Amino acid sequence: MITSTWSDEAITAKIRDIAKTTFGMDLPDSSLPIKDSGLDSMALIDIVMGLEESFGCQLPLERLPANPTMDDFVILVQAALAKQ
Amino acid sequence: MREVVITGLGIVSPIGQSAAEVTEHLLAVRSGIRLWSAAGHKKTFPAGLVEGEFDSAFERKDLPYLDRLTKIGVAAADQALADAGLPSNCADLDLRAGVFAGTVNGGINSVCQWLREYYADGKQTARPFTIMAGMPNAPAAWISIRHQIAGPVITHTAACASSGVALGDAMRWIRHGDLDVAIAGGCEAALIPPVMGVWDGLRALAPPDTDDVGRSCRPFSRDRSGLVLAEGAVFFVLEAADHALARGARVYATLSGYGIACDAYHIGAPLSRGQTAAINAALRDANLRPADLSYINAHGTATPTGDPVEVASLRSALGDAADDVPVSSTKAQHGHMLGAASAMELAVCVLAMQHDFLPATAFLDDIDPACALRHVPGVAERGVQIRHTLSLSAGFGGTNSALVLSKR
Repeated sequence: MITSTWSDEAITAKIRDIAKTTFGMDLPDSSLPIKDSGLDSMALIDIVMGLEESFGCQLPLERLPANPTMDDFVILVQAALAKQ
Repeated sequence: MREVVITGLGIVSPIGQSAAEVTEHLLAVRSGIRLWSAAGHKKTFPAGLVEGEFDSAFERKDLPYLDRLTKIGVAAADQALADAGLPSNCADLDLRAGVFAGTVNGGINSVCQWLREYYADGKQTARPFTIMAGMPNAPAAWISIRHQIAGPVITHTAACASSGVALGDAMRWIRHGDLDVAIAGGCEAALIPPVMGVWDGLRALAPPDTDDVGRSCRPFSRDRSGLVLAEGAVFFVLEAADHALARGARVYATLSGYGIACDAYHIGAPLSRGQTAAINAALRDANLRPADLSYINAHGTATPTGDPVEVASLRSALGDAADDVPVSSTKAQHGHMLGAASAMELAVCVLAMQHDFLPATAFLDDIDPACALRHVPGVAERGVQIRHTLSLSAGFGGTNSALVLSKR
């Protein structure tokens, strides 16, 4: 089982924080595609950058599904943290 | 060739953010120049600052992509379109509508923000929207997206003649039958410390007037001390006359002439040859003689060397009419709006024509003998019918544009 010092909730909260602070968007359901909220692919890249900065890891974008949810991001961040 | 008319006007300027406000300032000869200062920047400068809040016109999620340049540019274009009575969504015009926008510095606020992060904060990767915010064609692109304008969407940069060239280009597209409608003009938002420092390095900026900062820009005056930078955006709706009349649109005036010529001389010093050639070309294009002009809005930046060169150009182009055609530079009031300068000064001509007055050169108490012309010093002359009017702009690099407006 992958474990890290960061909880899934902390990562989801960070994504919500970036979306709110930078784009003024609320992301309600972590299992829904983020683009459904109106954010575009460049906003997703900004979220990736924010997560990398916050959690000190590199996220392999090619592992993300085409239309990712917050849950997909959590899996990606946890995997990257586990590798370190 | 089709006649090109102006049916819409949008202004975001240091002397007002509507045609009515700008007219009021021009008639009262009220200055929009204030004191510019920035934390950590030792010098202060006079500047034409635009006040107000522009974010709320956009979706919050789009704001990271929007430089101040684009925000004020879009605000002026929105205003112009509404003023023309055209729908906000121009999709029905399909490829028959275009956007032509002048700028000098592009989205320089965003570029400088990134440079600060790179050089001062040690970042090596920019936020993903940095490119889109900083690129010079962003205002034109956002106007096209917002209003579904699908024809040519072009950005013109020719220093201080940028928006004059944009307007001239748009006019030609319509004249030649390739477009029915164009949103054309320019915008500039570069009053940030690094840009002030660049101009300061050129020793071209006027210091703040010690008695009244609003009097710092004094074109053609014996004691002129340099130019005053400003920000702002001005867009017009240009339209084929037949198209405008068919939809019952209100017509301000006919854009009857456009001239463009380059000095081909020096990267930063003007030469009369190019300016004179641009004026001559515009008059020829409008099929007018110099004496037909009722008013000229000069480039008149108030630099010690630039003003006499322009006066010589006007004298050369106008010949015997030079002593009779009223000339003023309204930069004394709104400052030098760079990429929006030509558009702003054409807007001044439109309003002067609409309200029958000659705009003044403010603070021209003591005319420099080297700048002798038929000036309009200090006070706007009311009750003067304007049949034809010309606006001249001269840019670094030598490109000069002249636009002629005729009463319809």
